[in-house]
Amino acid sequence: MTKHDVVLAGKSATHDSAREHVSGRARYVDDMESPAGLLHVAIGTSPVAHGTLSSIDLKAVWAASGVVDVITFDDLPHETDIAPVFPGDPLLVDDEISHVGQPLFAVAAKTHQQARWAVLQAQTVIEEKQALLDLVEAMDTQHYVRPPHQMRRCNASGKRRGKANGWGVWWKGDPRDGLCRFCRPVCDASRGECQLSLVQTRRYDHDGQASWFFKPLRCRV
Amino acid sequence: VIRFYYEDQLVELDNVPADLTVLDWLRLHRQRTGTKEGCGSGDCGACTVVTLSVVGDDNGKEWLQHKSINSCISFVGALHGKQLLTVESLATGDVLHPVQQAMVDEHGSQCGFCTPGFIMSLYALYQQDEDESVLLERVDQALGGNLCRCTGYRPIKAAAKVALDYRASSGKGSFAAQPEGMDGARFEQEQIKSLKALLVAPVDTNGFYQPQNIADFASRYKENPQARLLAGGTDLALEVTQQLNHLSSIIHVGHVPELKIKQLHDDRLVLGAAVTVAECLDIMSARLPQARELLLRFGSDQIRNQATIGGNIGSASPIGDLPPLLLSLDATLTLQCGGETRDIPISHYYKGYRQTCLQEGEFVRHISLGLPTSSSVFAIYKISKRVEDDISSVCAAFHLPQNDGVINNARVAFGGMAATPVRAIATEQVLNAKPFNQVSVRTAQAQLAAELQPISDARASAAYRSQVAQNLLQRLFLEQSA
Repeated sequence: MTKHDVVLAGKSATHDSAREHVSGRARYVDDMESPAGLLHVAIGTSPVAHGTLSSIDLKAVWAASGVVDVITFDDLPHETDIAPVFPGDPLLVDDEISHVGQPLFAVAAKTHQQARWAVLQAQTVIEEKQALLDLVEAMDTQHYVRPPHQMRRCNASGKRRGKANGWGVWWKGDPRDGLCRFCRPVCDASRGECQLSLVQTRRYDHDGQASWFFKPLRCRV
Repeated sequence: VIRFYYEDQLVELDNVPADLTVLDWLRLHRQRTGTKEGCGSGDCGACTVVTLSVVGDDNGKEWLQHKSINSCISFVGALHGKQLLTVESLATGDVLHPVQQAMVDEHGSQCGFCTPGFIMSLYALYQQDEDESVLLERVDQALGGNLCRCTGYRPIKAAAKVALDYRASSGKGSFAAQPEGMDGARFEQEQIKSLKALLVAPVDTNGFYQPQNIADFASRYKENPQARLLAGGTDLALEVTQQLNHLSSIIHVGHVPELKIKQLHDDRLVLGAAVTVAECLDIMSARLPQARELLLRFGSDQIRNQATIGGNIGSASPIGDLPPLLLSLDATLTLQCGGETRDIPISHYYKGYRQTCLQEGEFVRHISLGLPTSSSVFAIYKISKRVEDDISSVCAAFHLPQNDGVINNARVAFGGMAATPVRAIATEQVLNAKPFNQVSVRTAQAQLAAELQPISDARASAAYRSQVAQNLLQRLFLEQSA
């Protein structure tokens, strides 16, 4: 490619795989010819959103035609959590189930169909628990995915918290004092006007439907 | 032997499972992997392929009809006598088909996984015998059964326009197999001849049976009532793809002419059980325009091209969209078992959740429905989370004939409000002999709330369904008063 062939910004360029996409020639993993002896994995998943996995009976799974191996949490050799940044994404459920479709066990079989069929033969006992499916309720009961934190620029009455005085200071706090839901982790020691990037929430009830609106504001404490 | 053309190659299959899907045949038996499996249930459209079949009118004129279908929920036996085209079939060497070229030029693909399905839906649209201006109006409809989660629909719709503009200036053309120098009309006649030659004998292979007349079908089904009846298969095939059941004995009713009848009398419409929803849409658009929106929102083009009236009644699903319409028009079902037929009102047909009054070996032959008169208030509403290709939370049909300013013989029918499609009979009685005014509507709404206790499920809560049902009656009133 010479310098002149380079497509410059502002010019339309087609996707380099577009011709393959539109003609069915683009190859995806499932389109590749399988090598001899390839095994197919199917996953047994949770039918409930929240609960405790009391037991899995896999005898019938093992006995199903074409099955080569079946693994559960106990078979995982090293790292059991596959979350990329923070922990919290178990590869297979140990006991606590936290969403519908969460992987409970995996079956390897000689064909895709055999693996899917074998999965259906498992007998699981799950103690179902109340699932929290509502944002408002989750906020009220402080069921956060991650601990609350806020990014702020601190300029509170000459007092400076944290090491840096610019953007990007991360604060964690226990939101149990008397301040508003979003200020309290940050403003507890402040006096006077605190120039914060905060969010306020408002709740509008209409037929039981709740909506939340977020906006930055100045906070007086 | 199941015989069909894949592109220009004759395919003969006689040792495949009766429940082999077209998608699995393509991908696993033929290694044609351009057609993708997304959802495996006819919702996402990644598996869309196009079939060509011979259709004719009463005057003996015959032509080839291009239909988009979901290959994941179509059985390969149903291809008998047809021609199958997939995303690989359209380009001629390196020259892409206009819909493919337009998708490239308009940036209509990103990850590319849904693209083959979009291409085939657009190709089916492109091949219809209508003016480009008509087809442009139909782009949303044609794409209603295809999901894209990354490109977005704007560039895809732009591609549809570019392709149709090209067609307007350059003509329709055909797919790659058209020999050079042969004109389009002659090629079509050749194809019709080839396809009709496939249909000479009934298919009877490996548990898949395809009768060609009603007597053969009825006796075969009576002898073997455990066989599963296949019409469009858009419900039946889910047992295979979702529940992994194996259907070892299938009777396909798609080539029984008595089940395909379409008769329009002055005040009645008679439709064979194997009439598709797409065909029903064509007929009803003219004679029952109030049903048009419901039918346009019944599944997608891919589903409507396959799904049948008989299947929608036969599966006895509580959320089928045709039953409320049929209940509101006092439809009569003609059932047949062996050589015997009997007529029953559709209101006596449903016995419980997915249970009907059909006896062993008995099937729905055709359905006859009364068309509303000009003095009748008639409307059908479908409430679902998504406009296209979605299951109703509530489907309501109101038919309020009026005599001397009062309602007479009211029909109020619902889907999604009980374990079966139902009429709200007490509500009908409240409306009878009353003028259609706000007072009557209020009384009927109260009765409706008391009469029907719907369930809560993933689609809607019981309270929502109940409220919606009442609101739809008010909506009807407001529309009529406007």
